[in-house]
Amino acid sequence: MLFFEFVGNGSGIYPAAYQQQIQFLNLGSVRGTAVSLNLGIYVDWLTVVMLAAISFVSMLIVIYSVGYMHGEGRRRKRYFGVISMFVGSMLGLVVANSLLELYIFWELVGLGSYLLIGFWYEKPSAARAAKKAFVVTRFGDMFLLFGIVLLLNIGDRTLSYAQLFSASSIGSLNSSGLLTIATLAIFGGAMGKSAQFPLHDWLVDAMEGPTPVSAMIHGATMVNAGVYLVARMYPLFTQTPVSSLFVSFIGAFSALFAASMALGTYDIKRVLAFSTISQLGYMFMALGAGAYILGSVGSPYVTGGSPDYSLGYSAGMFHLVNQAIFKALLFLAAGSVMHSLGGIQDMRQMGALRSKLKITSITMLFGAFSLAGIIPFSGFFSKDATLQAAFDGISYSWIFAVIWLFGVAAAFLTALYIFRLWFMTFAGNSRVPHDVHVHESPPVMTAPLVILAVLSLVVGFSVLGVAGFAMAVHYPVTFPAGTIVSGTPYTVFRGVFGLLYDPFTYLSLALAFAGLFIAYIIWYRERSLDAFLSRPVPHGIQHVLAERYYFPQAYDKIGLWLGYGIARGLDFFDRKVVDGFINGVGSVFTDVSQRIRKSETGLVQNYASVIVAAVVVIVAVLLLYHGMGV
Amino acid sequence: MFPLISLMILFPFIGFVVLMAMPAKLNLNRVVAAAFSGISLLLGSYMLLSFNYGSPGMQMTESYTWINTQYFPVTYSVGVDGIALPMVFLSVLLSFLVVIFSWDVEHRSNQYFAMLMFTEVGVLGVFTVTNYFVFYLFWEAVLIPMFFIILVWGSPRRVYSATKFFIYTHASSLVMLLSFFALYFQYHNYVAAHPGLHLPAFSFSMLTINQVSPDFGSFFQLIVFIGLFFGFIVKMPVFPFHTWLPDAHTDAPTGGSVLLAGLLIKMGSFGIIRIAIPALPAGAKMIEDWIVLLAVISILYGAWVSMAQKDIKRMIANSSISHMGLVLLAIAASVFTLSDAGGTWSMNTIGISVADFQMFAHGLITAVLFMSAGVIQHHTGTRDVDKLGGLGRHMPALSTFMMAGFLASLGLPGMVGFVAEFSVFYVTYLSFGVYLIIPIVTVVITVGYYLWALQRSVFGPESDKLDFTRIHDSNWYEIVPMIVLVIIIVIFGIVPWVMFNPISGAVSSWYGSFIGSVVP
Repeated sequence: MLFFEFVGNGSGIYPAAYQQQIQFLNLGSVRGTAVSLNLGIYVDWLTVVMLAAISFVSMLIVIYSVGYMHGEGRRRKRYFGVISMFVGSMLGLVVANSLLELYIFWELVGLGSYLLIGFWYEKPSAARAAKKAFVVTRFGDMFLLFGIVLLLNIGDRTLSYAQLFSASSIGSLNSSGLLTIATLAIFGGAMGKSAQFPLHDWLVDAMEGPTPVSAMIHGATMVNAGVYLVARMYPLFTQTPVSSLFVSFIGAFSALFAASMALGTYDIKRVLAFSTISQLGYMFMALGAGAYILGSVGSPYVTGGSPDYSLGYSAGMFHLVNQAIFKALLFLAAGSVMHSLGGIQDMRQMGALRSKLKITSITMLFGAFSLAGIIPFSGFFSKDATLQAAFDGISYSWIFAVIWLFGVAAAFLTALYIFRLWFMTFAGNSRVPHDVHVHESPPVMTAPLVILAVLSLVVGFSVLGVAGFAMAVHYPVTFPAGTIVSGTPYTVFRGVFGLLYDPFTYLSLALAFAGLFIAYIIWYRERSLDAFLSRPVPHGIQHVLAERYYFPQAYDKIGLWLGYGIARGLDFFDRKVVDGFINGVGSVFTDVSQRIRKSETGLVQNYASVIVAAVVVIVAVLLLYHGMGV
Repeated sequence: MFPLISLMILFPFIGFVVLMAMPAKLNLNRVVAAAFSGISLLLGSYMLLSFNYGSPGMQMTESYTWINTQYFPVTYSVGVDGIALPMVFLSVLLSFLVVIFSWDVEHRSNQYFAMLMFTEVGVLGVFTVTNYFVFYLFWEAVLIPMFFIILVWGSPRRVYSATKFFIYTHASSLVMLLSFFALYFQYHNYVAAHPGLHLPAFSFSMLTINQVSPDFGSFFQLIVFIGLFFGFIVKMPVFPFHTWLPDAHTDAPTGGSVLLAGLLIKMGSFGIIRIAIPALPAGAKMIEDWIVLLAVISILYGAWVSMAQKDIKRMIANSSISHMGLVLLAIAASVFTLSDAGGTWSMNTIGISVADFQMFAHGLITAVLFMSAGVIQHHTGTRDVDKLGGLGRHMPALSTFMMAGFLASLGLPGMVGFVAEFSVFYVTYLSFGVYLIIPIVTVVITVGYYLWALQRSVFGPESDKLDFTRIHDSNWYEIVPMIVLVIIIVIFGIVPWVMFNPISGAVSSWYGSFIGSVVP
């Protein structure tokens, strides 16, 4: 990991990407263009940031796992082996220099998640959740594979980034008229991996794995792959406004949708799982908005003019980095709570743990502040920027008004659910069963928590917010000279306190504090919700949320019908009709031979009469032929 | 010239004769069988190393006149090129590994190993000969030992399955033989009408006949191509002629299933690649829509039917139909690029190369799958997923490599199956455009049935229908062949070009010499 990080940082200093490749497959040639697929390494600032986030957060999670998995005995060998493979695949995914190589590691990441979610495979629910994760992400991957094959065919017949994103390749991709389908298909893969609506459900069930695995999947590795893919494919998404709008819309909708479900569950890990879906939605919202604006106002390939940066791109990636930190922190803290309670996940059996779990409760509070977007925690800087990016889009399409409203509403819900979680767990009256001995986790587990908590506090302002982050990680835009750009589709560096001049900053802050305050009233002061919830409408809403809008049931039904139901039908068809026909043919032959056998009577008279008859027929035929002059 | 190929075929044949003459003593028989198939494997490995990868044509050729009459000249001529190389390597490898895997077949062991040897002889012959008549002889020779392997060492329904297998595939090869003779006589007529070609008046050689057969009349090509095609797709097998396969695979002993799925069904697609299309391009072109239709149906139908199977072995057998459908789809993609430009044919042959590579990949992978099903049957006494469960804890080695095989088969990158699948989808798009979205659905269905089977057999709580005190992990002779295969699967998944480049070179050379202008 460290090696990769050094390679990344060392070469990232140079703007020229680090390129090196080996042969993989030569698929002949088409109209004189050789189709050769190579594997190699490609490093730019996007890669460097991903490498740093992945390797650092993963390292802390692995250290934490040493304490968490202490009781697993010999199975720890398998755990640490698979987790190394998992992180290695994720690192491979971000250093890949072509879409094909990305896809290779993409699937290996999927395999890692399959093995880790199903780590306790003797539990039927774990085995089922692992299968679900793999099958659902594979459903998205089918589209990704389709998109990759499409891109290989419609452009300059290459998949390596350097060639794929060249001006001539973009030109031929555009002229094929299929680029929108290709980018939508690629986003299909991202939707599966990053658990966006409607492929979100596997991530919630993926809680069946050990908690550090959840932290790994949600924080540092797997789900970020989808966001990275969209960011990596930015040169293509900026060409296809329809796809960008779709990305942004799905992201914003998922953000709101998942945040609402987080309010309906009492499982501490599931709240965080919904929160991941929601935060990933913010990233897609920003990335899509940025790409849409770029597609509307200027082509990045026009030379001359003034260089600027896409806000949506930088905001999305900045949020990814911050999310990796605070989500890992929240999961590890939740794991610490569960560890100290002997595996209890239900928040109704927690409460008042603040005094007994000092480090855990404080670090988790830091994570909650960051997630809710409260100044000066890192989440504030990045989430605010993602909303800003969506707001900028309103100048170009009214749909962004809806998207922005989704985002704002989700911001309020985010503060509400995360402080609900915190207050229910650490404040109020203790509802812990009496036979549970509560104790703080060992230092090997709390040390990573502290480091992550400090990071979630400082990363935001230490890089001077998204503007500073964008100095490194940005998508360069060159507008044609003389273009008048309405709105602010690019970052303007106004210093770290520049945000304070922006009215929307106060709006999002106000919403976050409103969420916090309501959570405080309800779950800290424990104003009873029972009366409210017993009314039919709130009760119904609560029920629908807890049932996740009935998506799991619907998917199970559809999956069972589409998969097994049709399969049974076809199997019946196979055995009875197709095979039945063949066996029928066989039995006709047996039948006929039975009849023929009956003519073999053994009586010489019968044979003789047949011979005579045959001779007569032959003579007659010969005579006829002769008569007709043949 | 060192007769490498003939020796490779000869040693298993000697092994067959020796084993038939030996008493049924397992200790002795298995060593003899391992020795003879091991020599073939060594020769095969030597061939892999000494093969001239820069030259796309036939190499290591041998030719001996066998029947020397004017009207019926038959020459035993063999050779290997990039098309045959992966198949030959696969044959010697799988035959040897099957002998190792069958280390404990007590029942009539001398005959069992003899039949394995004889199968190897036939399969190697099919993949290397360049003479129609000898091709047919080897083709039929494979049928006999496999019939007995199923009939004598199979599971309870073996008599039905063996008979079905024999009659079905024998009937199809008779159609194939008729087509060969049609080619033979039409060739004679054609040469008699074109004396300027200076070709022999009668010949069974592929190299000679195929030179002129693309110019035969289109009606003749259509009829004879359908005959050849029928003969080959029954063997592959392709919907709707596939129903012998699940029965034969399920009821054969594990060694038989491995050879059946790994090698025998490859003979069908190999025949299409080697003979049917280069010999009769016009015939292929005329029924191209039907080819692609059958391919797509086989892919989806085979995958879907697999999902309904409770018997792991039957599931794997049905998945073979789906994967061989991919082979046919790649072939169809190339057939679609055939075009007749004023007397000479032109074609993009990349689909054919991809098909050959997919055959190689499937042969390696499916062997692991059948071996794992065999181990489960052997150690637990059942293959019914409803009765299995929780094997992971008691059979960790088996579970690991079974999972590796399943993952390879569902096209996990890093393994050879992915490369093959990806290339098939590439050529599909090349010829059929966005219709690719139909066959690509198979990747999801495939994941579905494999992981579901894993969930029900290897994972989950221990089944109460099994006596776990008596179940132990796989024996060395069972796990070693699986490990070897998985290693090879990974190697060719990381450096596929090592095998793919010679294939595509040879395909364009072979097709170019008969069809005309060829785009590799």
